Amino acid sequence: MSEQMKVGLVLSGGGAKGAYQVGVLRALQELGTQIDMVSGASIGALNGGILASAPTLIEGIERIEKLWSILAETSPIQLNSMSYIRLAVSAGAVLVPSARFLMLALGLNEEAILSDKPLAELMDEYLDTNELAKGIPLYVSVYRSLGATRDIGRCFLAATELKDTPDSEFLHVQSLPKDEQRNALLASAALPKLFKARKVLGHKYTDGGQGGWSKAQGNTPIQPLIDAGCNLIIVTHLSNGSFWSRNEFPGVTILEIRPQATMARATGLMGGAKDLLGFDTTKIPSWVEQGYNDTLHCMGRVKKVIQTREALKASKSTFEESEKYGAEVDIALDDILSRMRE
Amino acid sequence: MSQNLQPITPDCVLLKTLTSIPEKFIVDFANSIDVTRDHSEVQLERNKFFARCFDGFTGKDVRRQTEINTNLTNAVECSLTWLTELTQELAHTNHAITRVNERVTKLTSQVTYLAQYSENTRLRLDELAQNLNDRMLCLDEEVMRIGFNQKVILHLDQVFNKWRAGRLVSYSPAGRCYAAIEELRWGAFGDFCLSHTGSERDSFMQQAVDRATAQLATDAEISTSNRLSFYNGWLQLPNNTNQDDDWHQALKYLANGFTADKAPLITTITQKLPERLGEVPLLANASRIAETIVDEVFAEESYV
Repeated sequence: MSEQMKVGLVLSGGGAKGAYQVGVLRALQELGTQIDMVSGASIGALNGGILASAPTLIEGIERIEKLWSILAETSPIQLNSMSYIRLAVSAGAVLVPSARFLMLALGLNEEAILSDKPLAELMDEYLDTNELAKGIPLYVSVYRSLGATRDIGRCFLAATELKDTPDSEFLHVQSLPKDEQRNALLASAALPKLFKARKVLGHKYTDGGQGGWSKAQGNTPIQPLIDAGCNLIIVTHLSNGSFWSRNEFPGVTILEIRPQATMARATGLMGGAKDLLGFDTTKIPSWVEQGYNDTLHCMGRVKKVIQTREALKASKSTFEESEKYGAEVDIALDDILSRMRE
Repeated sequence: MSQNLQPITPDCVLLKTLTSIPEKFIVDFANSIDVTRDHSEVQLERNKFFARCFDGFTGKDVRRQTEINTNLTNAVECSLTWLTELTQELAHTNHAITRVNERVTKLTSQVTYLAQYSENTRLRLDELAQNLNDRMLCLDEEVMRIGFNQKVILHLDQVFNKWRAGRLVSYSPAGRCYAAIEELRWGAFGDFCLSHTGSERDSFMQQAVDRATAQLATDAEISTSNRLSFYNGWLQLPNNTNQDDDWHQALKYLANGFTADKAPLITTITQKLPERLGEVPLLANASRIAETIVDEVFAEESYV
């Protein structure tokens, strides 16, 4: 094909399960996959930020691996004032519909339960805005906040399919003023109620994963990559059975990396919340390994088919060339024989 | 991950770099299997009462099933597209095989023609080689013959030059003629005339007779047609010649093989027996002497 290949990578959100993307990136790098631009939501935005600000893909992956090894040893979760139970319930409310009722029961104030200070410090250490300006284009998904309580309410309605949340917005990070870039990344990962919303370009934004809830529009930010002209997009999911559908984007070639086994590590009613905030040494390495293996599996399946097809095309082309040459030889032979018969 | 799938490692050949944009329907076809499996597994897991109620109430179960169905439909469509394409390729391949088969058949026919042509060429070459060989043999024979004739002529010249030079002066004229003819018999001249018949031999023999006649006439100082007394003329030894010297002994020795009844002239000449003079002419010209000596020397029956 004459069209130049432009590969985009979508890193979806999912809290501590973002470690899965470390394995995905490592496998993609080992497979020699080029990445021309990246978009992310929530934890995917933070991973994407580090990747985009690195001089090379290999360097970016090494930085992300280092960051996640630190996150496994030292959780970035730091309570503001609430108890662990309140924290867990609040976090679970985002993903586990049954916990939303508890959330309501615990009272709805606008104060963030967790401090994003540790996360911001890590961002300061690993994200160089000067390097980011020279890196591959980065898009992050953010959700226009109406206040933490109303945001959670909208998510509740969307989770019960009563009313979908408004679509998330996508920001091209390099186009933002430098002092806003860090905020945009933190906003994309600011789970309502857990972390405080961030102001970017005069608007308050929270976790981009909330927008377009029913179709995971915000949590799987593919649209900016399509608009930027990517013709092959690799989408990573951090949850089993994501409702994001490739069929919504008929004009683009999409390669999804979906978990081939359960992503859940914790069990019980609050298992989802525990995994969401599960920055520990037991879970993170297993997600990294899972991401690595799943990528090899999904990419391998597709590549095998592509290679088979390419081999068929190549054989056809070779045969046509051979036939053309054979025809020339036939003419030469006919000519000689006709002269011999004279 | 399905249990029957082999693990894929980065060094696997099929995982080498993706360098060109893959066709969408192919990616959709292969990737939708993993997407559908993901949904199916979640569908199987959500079998608890509350989950079923929640999914039913929110319509998630229907949405998930719709997603599975859509993916399956797409996969079937992709399969159909690919199958159609493969069928076209198969038809194309069959046509190509037919063309190849036709070419092979044509080639076989051409090879058969070439083999036949080659065989005919070989036969013609064999024939040509045989003709050439025959021709070469003829040429060889001709060259040999010419060479032999040349030797005969040289021999003839050599012998008569010797006679003319006076190297046989010890003998009588008839003795000189016999000595010369005897020398011709034991050289190339004799070899040719004893082993050949025909006009060429006759020509050489005639040359020998003619040259002997001429030299006899010269030695006797008479014309070739004048007759001379055999005993006092043709057998007359030069003055001061001893009949018993080595020359005459040698001549006698050479004539030992001749018998008087079959070669009366030679035996008379070499042995000079007066009692046998009745068997030879009293008078004879040079031609007769030469012819008789040549005939007696080259007649096989002259020998004992």
